[in-house]
Amino acid sequence: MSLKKHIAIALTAIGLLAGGAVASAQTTTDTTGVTASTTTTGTTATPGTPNTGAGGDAAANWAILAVTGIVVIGGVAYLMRKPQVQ
Amino acid sequence: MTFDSKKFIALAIVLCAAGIFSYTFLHAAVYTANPDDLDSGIAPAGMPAALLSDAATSSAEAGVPVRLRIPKIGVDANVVDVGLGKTGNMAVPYTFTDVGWYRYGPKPGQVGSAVIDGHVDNGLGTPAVFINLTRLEPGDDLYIDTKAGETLHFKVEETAAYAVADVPLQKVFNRNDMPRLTLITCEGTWEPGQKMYDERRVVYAVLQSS
Repeated sequence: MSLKKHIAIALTAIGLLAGGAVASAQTTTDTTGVTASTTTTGTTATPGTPNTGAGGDAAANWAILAVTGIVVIGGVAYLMRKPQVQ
Repeated sequence: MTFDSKKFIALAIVLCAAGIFSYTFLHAAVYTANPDDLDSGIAPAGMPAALLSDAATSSAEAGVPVRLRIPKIGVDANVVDVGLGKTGNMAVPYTFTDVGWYRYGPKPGQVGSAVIDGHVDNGLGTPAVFINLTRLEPGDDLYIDTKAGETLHFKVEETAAYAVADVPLQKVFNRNDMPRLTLITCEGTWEPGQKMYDERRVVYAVLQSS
């Protein structure tokens, strides 16, 4: 097997592992201390504070997009190549 | 390993990678919110049945907000109604371009605090609808367009940043002295363990005229 194929397999493995890790992390239940009171005062129930940002995950998400993008492009190129005549 | 089986494996890997790419892109760039923070359909505990019924049907009523406009910071956003997330927090909009009105509270223009939240950024770090909320100052104008075609004019009365645990929830949600509009978004430093920012920016506004 050529060096290129070793590299392709390594990249693929990294992409799958990293992608799986992030996909798992993004669906993990939030167990922070921001609990809601949801009590009733007057006529309105009071919820807890909304979580309105996601930018802290940007670096990880960009890394996943880059790695999986490279894997896809490299894989497609591998699949599309014509067999070399010996 | 035959040539065909190698290609089969390569195809499977490409499809897996493409799936992960698509999921990450959609989750981070389009559907910004953590699933636990989206509207769960759970009603607030202790809320009178009549009010729950009213809230459940409120999205069909004429007085509900459909658009929020803040000329100073270039916001002209679609308003969606939101309830509670799975953890009991105010839910957030699905996308980073919409804002969410808390449907279990007053409608804008009614006496009480109508609360609208919006994202500050998305999972790729792209600025979201409330990225510039910190620039608002007392006296700035906010406008709400309702489903009935009415436009409500609010003026900023106060802005404040709080640590998450110190957000005065009663002040944000339950001031019943006059028609109020409260905007809320994230601010501060990202807490990786909690997957959220450690502060909240709150803008308090009062109705001027309709």
